[in-house]
Amino acid sequence: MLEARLEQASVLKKVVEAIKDLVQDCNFDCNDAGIALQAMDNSHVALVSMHLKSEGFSPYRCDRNIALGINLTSLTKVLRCAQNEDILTLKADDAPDSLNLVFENSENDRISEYDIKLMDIDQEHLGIPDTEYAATISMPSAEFQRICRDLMALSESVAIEATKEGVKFSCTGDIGSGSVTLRQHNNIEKPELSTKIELTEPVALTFSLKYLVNFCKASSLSANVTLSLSNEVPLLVEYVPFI
Amino acid sequence: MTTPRVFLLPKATPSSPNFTIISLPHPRTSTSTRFLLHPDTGLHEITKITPTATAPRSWLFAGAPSDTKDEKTPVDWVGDGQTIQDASLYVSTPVDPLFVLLPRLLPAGAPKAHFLPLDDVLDTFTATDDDDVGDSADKSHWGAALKLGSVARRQVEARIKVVCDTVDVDGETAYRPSLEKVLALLVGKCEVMAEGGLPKSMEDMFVVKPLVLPISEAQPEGGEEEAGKEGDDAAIEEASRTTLVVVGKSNEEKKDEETADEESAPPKPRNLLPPASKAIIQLLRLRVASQFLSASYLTTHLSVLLATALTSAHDFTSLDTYLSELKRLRSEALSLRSGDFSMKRGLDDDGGDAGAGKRRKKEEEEAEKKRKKNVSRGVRDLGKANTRGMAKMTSFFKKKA
Repeated sequence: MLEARLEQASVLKKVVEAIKDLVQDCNFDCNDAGIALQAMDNSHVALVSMHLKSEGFSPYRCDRNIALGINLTSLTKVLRCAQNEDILTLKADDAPDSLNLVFENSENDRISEYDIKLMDIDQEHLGIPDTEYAATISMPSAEFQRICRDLMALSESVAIEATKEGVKFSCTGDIGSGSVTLRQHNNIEKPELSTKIELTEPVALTFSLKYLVNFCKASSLSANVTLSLSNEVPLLVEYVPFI
Repeated sequence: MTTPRVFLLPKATPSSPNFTIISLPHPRTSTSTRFLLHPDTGLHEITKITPTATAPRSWLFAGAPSDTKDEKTPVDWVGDGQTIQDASLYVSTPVDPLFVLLPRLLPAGAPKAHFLPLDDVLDTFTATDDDDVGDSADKSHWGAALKLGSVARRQVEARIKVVCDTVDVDGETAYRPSLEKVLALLVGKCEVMAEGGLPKSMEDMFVVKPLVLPISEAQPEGGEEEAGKEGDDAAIEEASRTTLVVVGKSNEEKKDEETADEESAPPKPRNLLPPASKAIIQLLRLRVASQFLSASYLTTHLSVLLATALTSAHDFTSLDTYLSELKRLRSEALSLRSGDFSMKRGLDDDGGDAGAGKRRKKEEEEAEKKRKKNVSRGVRDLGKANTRGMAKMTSFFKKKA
């Protein structure tokens, strides 16, 4: 039996919104630590790993580990029926064939209830080891989104170059070339909007902008994004809600 | 404590509390079956009526008010009221002991039996009682059923006498089961059952329903013309009626006559069978009765014999031709109707095979569409992304054990 109550439906809405353009169907693995998700896109070149910790819910109850196989497009449809400030409750049996969602609106005393049919998804989980990255860049997520979108107009790929001075995003396309450089700076009033670079050695790597723009859909989850780069290792784009 | 069961028992007689329930081989299946042995009225079969699983029921017994408590009905266990989860009702009805005897009297493929005194004939039943049947569940209580001097014994003897050939040997009568007599008796039973109609549910299901005429909406071409003519006739009659009114004949009377005429000559269903005649219905009843008897009480080889005996006793050809005609009409009506549909489809499809292929293609397309509908635009766009030179995730991270 799973019963998880979120004070704000917007949290789940944003999470699903961020993932649904990367993967189609995926398992929500529920255990007593929370709800986790790991999935790859169809080409298997990108991987999304999401974790909603049980502390984020009030209350959270999960007696048994359950995998909820969900089509994210369907889940998006149902979540659109929830208003951002609704209280959202997820419910599922121990061996569920559907996921029950209840949206409570305290202002209007409205209770909406939806069921989503679940599916069996055979998904392999990849073990991701802790990695020492050559460069770790912390920056405002809106800034990263903007850079990716802007450069997308010129090219399909972007080169990220991290040095002691700053981080340079550059691209070259048919119509010309462009680059955006961010220098380290500290925002004392809003620390989440600071740009910080931790570097053990300079790195320069190229990534697909289509995927990065896709990743940026998680920007609404957090004002801050962390990019971790190393040679021969995939880029890690991390959105951790700033508390 | 055993669960109480609800029985409908034979009418109470002074000795009625002394009836026993015994096991005898079932006349059709030879499996051990419970029968009720009443000391005054003999053998009764027990029918269990169970409610359907879809509509579960239980019994509720209300305790009798103390002042009206009848000594004759001991209802101690009911107390102030009681429920029984199992809502089965057991009905005991008198049964001809002959049915139970038949499988033993006339076993399949056995050589003709010898003439034997009546007691010896009955001894063949009790002899196999208890001793050679190892499994106690299969044990049958012939001994109890054929106890000397009991009513059941007398009944059995009477029934055996009816179906046996006899010879007199030294003033003693010897008996041998006769197949002819048995079959004649069974045919007689069927006739009695069919006479005056079968029970309602059987009659509806097996007699009325098979004889329903198919509804044929497709009338031959001539129909409309005639209808037109009839319309004309009606117009003429209308005219004549007005004159008649003038003459003084009451309008109502005329109307009555008209409706009477119409009833006597209903619009004839063309090419259709007349409704089944009484003789045909009776024959069908007879057949249903024999089928019921065979299915419930006779071994397979006896039911085959009964069927042939019945056909030799009655002429079923009229029924058979009627039924086959009916079947033909039904299939015709069906093909006529399905023909209509194929005509409709024929307009937008080329025909059978091509149509099927087209349909399959369409279905596939729809499935594809449905699949696409469940994919977000983002995922679809990402499919177009150039992933050349990009390493797969699985090349960096290994599968978790």
